[in-house]
Amino acid sequence: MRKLLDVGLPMVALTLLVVGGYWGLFVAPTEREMGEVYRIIYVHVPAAWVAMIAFTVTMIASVTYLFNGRWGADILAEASAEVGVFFSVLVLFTGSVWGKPTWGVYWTWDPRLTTAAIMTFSFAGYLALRHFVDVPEKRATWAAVTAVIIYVDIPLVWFSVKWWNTLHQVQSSPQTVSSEMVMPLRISAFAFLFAYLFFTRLRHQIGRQRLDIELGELPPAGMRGV
Amino acid sequence: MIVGGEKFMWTAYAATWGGMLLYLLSLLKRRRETKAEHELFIDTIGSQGLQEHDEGRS
Repeated sequence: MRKLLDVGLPMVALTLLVVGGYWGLFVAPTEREMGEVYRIIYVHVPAAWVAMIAFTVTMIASVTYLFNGRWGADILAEASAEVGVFFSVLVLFTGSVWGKPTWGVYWTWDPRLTTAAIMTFSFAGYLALRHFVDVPEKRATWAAVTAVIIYVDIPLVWFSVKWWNTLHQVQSSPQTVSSEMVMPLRISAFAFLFAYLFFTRLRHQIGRQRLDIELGELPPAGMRGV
Repeated sequence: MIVGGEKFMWTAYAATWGGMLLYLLSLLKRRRETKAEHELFIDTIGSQGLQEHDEGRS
């Protein structure tokens, strides 16, 4: 099973990335108003979805850790947060590159952009917090509480385009998008999802071995400081 | 229609694919280093495993 996942996940992700990329770049029709630049949606939107899934996994794993104290949940929370930060940086970058030709600026303090930036920096701060605390139990507990608190921003990112007057367009659906554009978006979304699973699996392996070393070298729990 | 958008489109794709490749290489490098450290740890201290730590907490 492990071998299957080690080989299968990257193969599926790579295949879907190639197919989705080719379809999005060369097969999908040009958009009437935005021209070629609209093709950025095939990387921007899946990266945004996957970043939010990653942070949701972090939040669920953090709550799980707070309830049962299992290290596996803490390691998963950290792994998913790191991968989520990677994808959310991609979202901010590709969004800015889209913003210049369509809005005339790379960045504006629009509610969607602002909440997305807060999401990225909050979870980057979560990862930084983990580096500052040496005692594994305290680090895991503090990080879990932090993850639950900063997760509040995720619904704000999602609903910001509906609740406030923003430059960013509202979420599209298969009913509002040309059918020729839906399929490459779906393929890219699955490609990014499999890439997320593969990256998180790798990061989880790293986290597990690091913690194993750390716990083995620590003095008994009652003798530890921060 | 916006003209000349191709360079922005290619920039976004290059950043995405290049970023994924660099992140993957970083993960593989870190995994290799951690694995070497972990093997050394197992050889010198002995294998306790996380399961034992988990069991000790519950």
